[in-house]
Amino acid sequence: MSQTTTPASAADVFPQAPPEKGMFISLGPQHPSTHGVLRVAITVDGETVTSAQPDIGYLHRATEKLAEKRTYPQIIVLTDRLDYLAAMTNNWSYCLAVEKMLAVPIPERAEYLRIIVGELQRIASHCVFLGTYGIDIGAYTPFLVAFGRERERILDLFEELCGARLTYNYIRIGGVMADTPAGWEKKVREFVKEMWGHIQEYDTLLTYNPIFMDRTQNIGLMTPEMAVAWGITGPNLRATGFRADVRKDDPYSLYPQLKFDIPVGKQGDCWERYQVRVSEMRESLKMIEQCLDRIQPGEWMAKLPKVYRVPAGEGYGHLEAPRGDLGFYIISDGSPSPYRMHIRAPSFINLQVLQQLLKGWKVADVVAILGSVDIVLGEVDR
Amino acid sequence: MFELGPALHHAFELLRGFAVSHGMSRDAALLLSKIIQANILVLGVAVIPMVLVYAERKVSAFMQARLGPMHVGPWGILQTFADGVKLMLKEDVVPAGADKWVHFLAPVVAVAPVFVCFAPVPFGQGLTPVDLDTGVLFIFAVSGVSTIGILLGGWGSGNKFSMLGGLRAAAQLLSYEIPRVLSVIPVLMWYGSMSLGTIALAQHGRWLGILPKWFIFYPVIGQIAFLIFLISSVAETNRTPFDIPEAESELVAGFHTEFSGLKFALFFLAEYAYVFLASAMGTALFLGGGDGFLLPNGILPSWIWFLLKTFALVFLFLWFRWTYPRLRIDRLMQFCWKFLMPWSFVNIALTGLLVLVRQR
Amino acid sequence: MSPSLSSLVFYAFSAMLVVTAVGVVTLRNVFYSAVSLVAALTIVAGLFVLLGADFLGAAQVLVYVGGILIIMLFVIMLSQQPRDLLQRQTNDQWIAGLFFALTIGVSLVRAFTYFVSQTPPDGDIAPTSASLGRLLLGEMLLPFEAVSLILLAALVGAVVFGQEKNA
Repeated sequence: MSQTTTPASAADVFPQAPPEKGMFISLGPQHPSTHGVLRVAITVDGETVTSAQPDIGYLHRATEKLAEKRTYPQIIVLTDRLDYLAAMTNNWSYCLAVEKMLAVPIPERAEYLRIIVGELQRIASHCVFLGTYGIDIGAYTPFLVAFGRERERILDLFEELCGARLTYNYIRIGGVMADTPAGWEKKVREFVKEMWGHIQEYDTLLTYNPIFMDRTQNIGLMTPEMAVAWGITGPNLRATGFRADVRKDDPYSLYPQLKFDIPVGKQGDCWERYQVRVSEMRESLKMIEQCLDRIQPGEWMAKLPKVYRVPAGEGYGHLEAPRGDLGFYIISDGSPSPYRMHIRAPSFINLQVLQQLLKGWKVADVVAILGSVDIVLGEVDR
Repeated sequence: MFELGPALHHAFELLRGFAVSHGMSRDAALLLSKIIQANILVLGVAVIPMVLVYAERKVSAFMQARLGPMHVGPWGILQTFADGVKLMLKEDVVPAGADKWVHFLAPVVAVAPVFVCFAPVPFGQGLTPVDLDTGVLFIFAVSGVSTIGILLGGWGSGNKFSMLGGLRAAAQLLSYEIPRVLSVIPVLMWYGSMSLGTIALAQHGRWLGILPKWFIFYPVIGQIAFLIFLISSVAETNRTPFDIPEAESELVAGFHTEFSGLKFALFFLAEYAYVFLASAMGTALFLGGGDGFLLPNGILPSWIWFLLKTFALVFLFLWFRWTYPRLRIDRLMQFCWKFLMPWSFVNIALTGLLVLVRQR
Repeated sequence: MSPSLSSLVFYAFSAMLVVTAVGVVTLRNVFYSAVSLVAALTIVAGLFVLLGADFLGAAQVLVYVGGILIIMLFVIMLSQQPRDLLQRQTNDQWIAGLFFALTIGVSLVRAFTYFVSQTPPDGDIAPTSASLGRLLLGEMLLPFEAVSLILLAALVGAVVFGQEKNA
């Protein structure tokens, strides 16, 4: 092939010269409010944002390509590194896809354990969101309370369960890594009981704080049409009033047996995106309580051979991750490793809307809107 | 109990007498005693921020489920001292693009007025360093000079973020100075004096033998005035929810980004000294100064009461900072010009009416 | 304070005032000029206090130093241009200007010494705010209100001129 591809330089994508009217601001990749190595190229006219272009790729690690050279169980480790604030649901989503292709039945105890850790993970992830969003708006205490107190409790529970605090690798193909240590379920129950009070605390500290509401209400409005057009999922979509949740729409695991609501917003502003997440924490607590009531001792791992080959074909597994619809699409050619794996990363897709969402708002609101979309760069860049 | 004021007064009389009897002229003796007094005050003002910084760390820690400094000294009480030493020994970095002289002058201009500002504060019975007749006006006037220090810091750093921070700070301080002065006017009208000492003394006494006659307990006018004073004082000291000049998530650290070592320490000192000054003013103007309550008279001396009330107000400042998010800059200005200002005018009119009624 | 001490302070203040005032008109950096104006006006306030006008001194600092000069610094910082920072403050007609300034200075001194024979009272500073207030809201009420009206008109004018044309 004689065709050579010139790598697109940053100047091709973003004009370095100032726009005719207004000013060019490069927000990030080293900015305290971009939550990782994200760069947003913003042009402003006076105080108003006229265009915003997210620039990603600073954290690209070629996870999808790496997966092609590993055996199926080895890939679980890679999924931990995607959305590093919600490694449990990443493991789970990948396992769902592989289990579908293997058609292996999962023991009931494993399913309950998966739901418990999955929902605990959702609470932990939303705690991080809540804390960092508080910092974006200028409140420090929620960060240390939600991030440093409650999330740590959850990480302690996870550590007891699987020995890791960030990259768990706990949910395995066919079940979970190990049974719970003695007394673990009791500890979870205690935590859930306390957490109800803590969420109340967040409400008084941040959610219904007049200054916080002033900074976030009626800011960064997203219509349901806009959200659907950009493929937004998760709390960002539900905040617009669109009732969509993989746990209800395409149920997996034992979710159909659980009673829970799907909190939705009305107009999709920053405050509702925040508030939906807080309500989701309450729903997760409800689910964990129900699971704890029903869980019975028993097997936690399906009977699978030590070395197995996934039959040739394709499989797609997706679930409701804390940041939206997380899917793994796998094509197998019957060899020990997948032929191709694709990850539908909710953060990556939610991020794109910023081009439209930031337009027309004030510069001071950029940080508030950016924070409310809640992206994790590990997942965006994969 | 032990009143510090008369004792100190007596001590200085003795000192002057001693100096005169040893051949010093009366002028020189007066000057000497004034210099000693000024030095005591300056020393006190320099120590107060250290106490406040420690308090801030501990209060914030307890609000955030932490312990705060624990290693230097018992319960970490020597931590701020250690930090002070560290700041003094640190290299003084002047950025290449900075205006060297302005960079040097900025912290000095920011911190110098603070010391002067404490002159008319009545720390207790007989403990007013200089009982100025225009005390309140004096404090407002002199503390306004610190704003220039902040502007100089923003300019002298040769850094756009610093300059933006400096400009924002100046705009905010200038704006909030107005409701702050206006909120105090009802107090001045009611007591017919601008001397903090006279105002504090006039608030001694009880209604029906229980409720203290502090200005904050005067129906409607007292509460409005106190609230406006408190809010604009928080804004004047650049603290959350009005800490936009230093907004970390937007402006890195604002006007003092490029300052290190002792220069940074001076800015820091000025900030905390102003918090204490605002609380002391609030105590003298609204909370009856050194007037005690609940406990029978004379159990605690007036200066203890004054410090207790001042630290209660300081705690409010800390409380705000660690529980509130930050306002957006345009809302901040709107709040000042469209809410605080009209209400302070209403309050002045209301007080005028009440003063008229009282005269009848 | 005894007369000797107060005159010592007075001469010290005056010397500083002259130095800073000369700085205002000779320094080539606009920002430096503004800063020395800050210093000059602060010293003027000190002189006021020395003359027993405590209210005037405080008002001087509050209004000029804490208000007007901050706005001036503001404007300099916002409209900074490299050429503004290194400007000669004199032009070809500086001799004429100097002559003119001297004439005004001398006539002012003559006028003051002719009309004002009273020297400020020595001794402790007597409070002036009460009498000043009585004067402003009694005898001088009309001029006082007229001045405030003029200032209001200036404010409204500034808003009108500052408005964007397309708004």
